[in-house]
Amino acid sequence: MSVIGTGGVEQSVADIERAEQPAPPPSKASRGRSKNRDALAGWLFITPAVLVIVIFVLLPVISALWVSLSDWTGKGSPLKAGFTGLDNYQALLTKPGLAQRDLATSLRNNLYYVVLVVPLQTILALLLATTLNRRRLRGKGFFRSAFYFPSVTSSVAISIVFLFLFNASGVVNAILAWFGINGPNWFADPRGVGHILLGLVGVDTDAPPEWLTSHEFLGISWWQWWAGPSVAMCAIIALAIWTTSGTFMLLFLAALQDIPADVEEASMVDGATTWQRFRAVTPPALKPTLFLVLTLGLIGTWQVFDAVYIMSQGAPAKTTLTPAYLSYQTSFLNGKWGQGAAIAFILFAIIVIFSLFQRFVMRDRAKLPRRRRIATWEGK
Amino acid sequence: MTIEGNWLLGSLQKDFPSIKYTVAELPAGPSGDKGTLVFTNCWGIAATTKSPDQAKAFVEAMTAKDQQLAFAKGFGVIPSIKSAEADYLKEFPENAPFVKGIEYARGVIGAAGITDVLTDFDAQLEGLASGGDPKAILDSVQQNLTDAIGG
Repeated sequence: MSVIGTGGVEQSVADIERAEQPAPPPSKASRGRSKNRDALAGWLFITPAVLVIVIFVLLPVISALWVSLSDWTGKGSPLKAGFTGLDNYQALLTKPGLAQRDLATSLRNNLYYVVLVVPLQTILALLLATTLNRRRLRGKGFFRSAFYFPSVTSSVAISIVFLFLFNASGVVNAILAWFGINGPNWFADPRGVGHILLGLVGVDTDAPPEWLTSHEFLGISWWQWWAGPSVAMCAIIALAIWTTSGTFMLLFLAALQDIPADVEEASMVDGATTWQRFRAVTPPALKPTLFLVLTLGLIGTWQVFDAVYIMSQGAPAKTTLTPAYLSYQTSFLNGKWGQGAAIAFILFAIIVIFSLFQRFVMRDRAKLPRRRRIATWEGK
Repeated sequence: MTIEGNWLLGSLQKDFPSIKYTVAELPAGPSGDKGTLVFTNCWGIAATTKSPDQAKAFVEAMTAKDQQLAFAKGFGVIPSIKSAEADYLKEFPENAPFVKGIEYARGVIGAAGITDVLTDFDAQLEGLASGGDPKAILDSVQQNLTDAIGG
């Protein structure tokens, strides 16, 4: 089965429409003048939006970049602060010390958070969407609202409810107790899941293997990089999956409802089973949405702040520290504004790299050269 | 028993007025040294203020003897100036152990960059129960302190 890229279709449809319009034959001069006037009107219309973006987005970004290269103390104008070059970045990336270790710890925590949250929330969202997309389903509206509800609830309220749920004597541990499991004291447990797993297969976690502890990267040992999300972080991961999958479910649902019914019916006539249809017919149509969901998920998870701020402030033992929270802590609580801004820009670089990598992985491999595609469409 | 500072007196007085208690100094350690903690809050005057003299006069008034005694009564803390000691002990003889501790007490280090080190120390202590090594923790705190304030 061949799929025509949607971009190509839109473009060629536009071409056809343009071709169908009766072309007015204006003189060269008047066409130039009207073109100028159009451009002027266009600029006039976008001026308010451009002004807002420049004042509230572009200028703050530039001034943050300046602060990250300066020794601003938070007092007076940042423009009067001294220029210190890459000192702030060096303290974080190359100079061994507490700042470097904190950044490495926060990157480790957030990496495990991303690796777990992004796939799980995407799968859950897709499952919820396909469930709701069945034509014969009672109470569709109710379930749609129910699944979407966590996404519209205030994250502060949800975080506090989760604090109660994952309390040492909370609901989660009460349910675990039914199965004879003695649940952990979630938000006070700094043990990493990676270490717990190694402990289960017989590695002595009190005296970890020499080759893991003797090598280090960014100031913390390989053994610490391997720690995985701590038990406390797992509770925050559960919260993130639960709250965001509703939003992405809505995106998937919209994409699923865009698949024409005759495509489904045609594949049924061809004898495809439900599973085959789910694997071979649905994904190509969902690919743009999947790309969007993964991109939004990656960006959102790397910037996680609110849940950490409300639930743990990085505790226990810095295992829920994330770069976004570390940046806040460094600048607003410890007054090292330059270093805090530098962390923000390092985080920005990481997000850009991850997004580019994801774009590379998900690129359209069977892409025809643009010209030829339009030509075949028009030549039909 | 609880190990606490004089800042506890105010909340005991306010929230648990019916609790009966006595205050005692911490016993000396094996080497005969005694140790306790003391700290104070401070008044700050903005460097750019238009009327530095008035601000200074205000702070002086607030740190004078009778104001400090009023503070002690209102918030339960011991006064921050030596000259108020006798009057304070006359009124609250039961808090004498707190006052005696001042002689050998150590203050909180107030150097720049110290917060990060202490936060990191706290964080490492949280990992003590799950396999943290006390010597490694203290070594890293020493190293961080040296890095922070230069040693």
